[in-house]
Amino acid sequence: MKAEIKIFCTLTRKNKLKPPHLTPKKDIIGALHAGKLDAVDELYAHHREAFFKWAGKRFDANRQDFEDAWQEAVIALYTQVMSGKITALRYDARTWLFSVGHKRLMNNNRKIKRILWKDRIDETIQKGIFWPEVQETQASTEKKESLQSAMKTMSSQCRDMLVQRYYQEKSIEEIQEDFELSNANSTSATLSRCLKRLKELIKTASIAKA
Amino acid sequence: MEEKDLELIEGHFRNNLNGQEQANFQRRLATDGGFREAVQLHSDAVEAIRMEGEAMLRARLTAKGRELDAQPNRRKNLWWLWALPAMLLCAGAIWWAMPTPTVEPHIQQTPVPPTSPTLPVETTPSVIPPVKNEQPQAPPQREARAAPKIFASWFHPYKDDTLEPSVRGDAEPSPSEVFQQRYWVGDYRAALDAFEIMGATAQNNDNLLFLKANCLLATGNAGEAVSLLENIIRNDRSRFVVQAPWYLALARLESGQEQQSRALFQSIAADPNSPRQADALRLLDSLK
Repeated sequence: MKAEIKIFCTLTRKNKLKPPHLTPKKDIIGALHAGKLDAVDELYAHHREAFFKWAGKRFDANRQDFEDAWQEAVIALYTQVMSGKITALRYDARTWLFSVGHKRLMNNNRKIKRILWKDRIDETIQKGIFWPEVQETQASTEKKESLQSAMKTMSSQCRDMLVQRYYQEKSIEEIQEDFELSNANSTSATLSRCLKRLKELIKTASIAKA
Repeated sequence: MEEKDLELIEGHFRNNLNGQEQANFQRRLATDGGFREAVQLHSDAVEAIRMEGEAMLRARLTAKGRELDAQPNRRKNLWWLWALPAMLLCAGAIWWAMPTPTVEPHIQQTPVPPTSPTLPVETTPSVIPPVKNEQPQAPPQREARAAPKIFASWFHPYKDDTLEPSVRGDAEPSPSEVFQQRYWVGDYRAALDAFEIMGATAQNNDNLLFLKANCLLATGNAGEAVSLLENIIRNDRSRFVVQAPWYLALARLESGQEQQSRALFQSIAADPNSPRQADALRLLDSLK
């Protein structure tokens, strides 16, 4: 019996001493930063079911809620990496994504939160050392709608090109290849024209509102 | 605003400015109202693009999620495919092991003469006539048989004048032009091959995906066409979006989803804005 207790204590101590995943996952960050959407797909698919199961023990929500939270988490990671706000992860990608998904669910389901289970990720969340990594935009709903409406007015080619250049951070050459344009100069000129048009639309909308 | 100012602003947003440029940027921001306004406008434009990018990514992940959710079902179906022969084998083994009653048909067929005229003879039919299936599950079977015929008679790959490829001198056609040319001449398998070598953006273009869905329908891959058309309708970015429900209903019919197909045809038939309203009404008549 004593021996059993000793083994249990050793194992517990070992677990406690075991360092959290502090290794920066540069391979994931690198793949995302290279603009590989396949890497996003893979990240999304790889931990999806595990997140649903994990979140299902903590929130009384339906699968669609978990799906939305999971998508938000993956998109947040991609956006933060592409904007250069994240260059390395303090924890592994799974912990990062689960924590962001958890926060999304907390925001949506404050009243029905259930904490029945606890693991390393919960401890990470409770330490509160994680959130400074995520910087969210604070644009008002009205402004968001106005910006979305300006974007919708653009041609689909302009929209796609601008997204590739300013969101997916693709190079002019990559965009030229994707859109089958004749050369880099014409690609650059088209992008400038599209951006100028978008700015005009935003300006017109803000003047009209004022 | 001059070109070099715009470059300075863009450089700032891309974190590409050196120390001197950054100092220049900050000085202009503090002293020049027009410059400040241009910076704000650029910031708004980048925010609009970011929101659009996120919406596109969300649509992509939703499609991926649907694909993943469909996988376990397929696995379950495969499990049943394995289980069915196993069950048949078990049933066969049980039947083999069971003692079979000896049947002497000629005795049964011969009516037994009455031993006594006073006793009524119970006449049992010598051979039990096969039960006639008076109601051979008419509606579902007829529908199942009818679906491929209806699909074949109603499905015509979408074409309009705008799809006709223009001839451009001696220049090498781009992969998406090759795709459209092959589609236009009705070589749908070759068009699908051409689609595979197109650029990533072209492959995600909902107009071209609509044509791809038609190619898939024409080459007998209705299941994949269903998911493509569902996405096109959901994204609402294609100029063919008003045509898409008709092809989705046909794709569902062909892939065996008769109920969903019928419901969609009914909604098309009830929609006065649908270019396929009359077709849907006639098709529903033929489904009855």
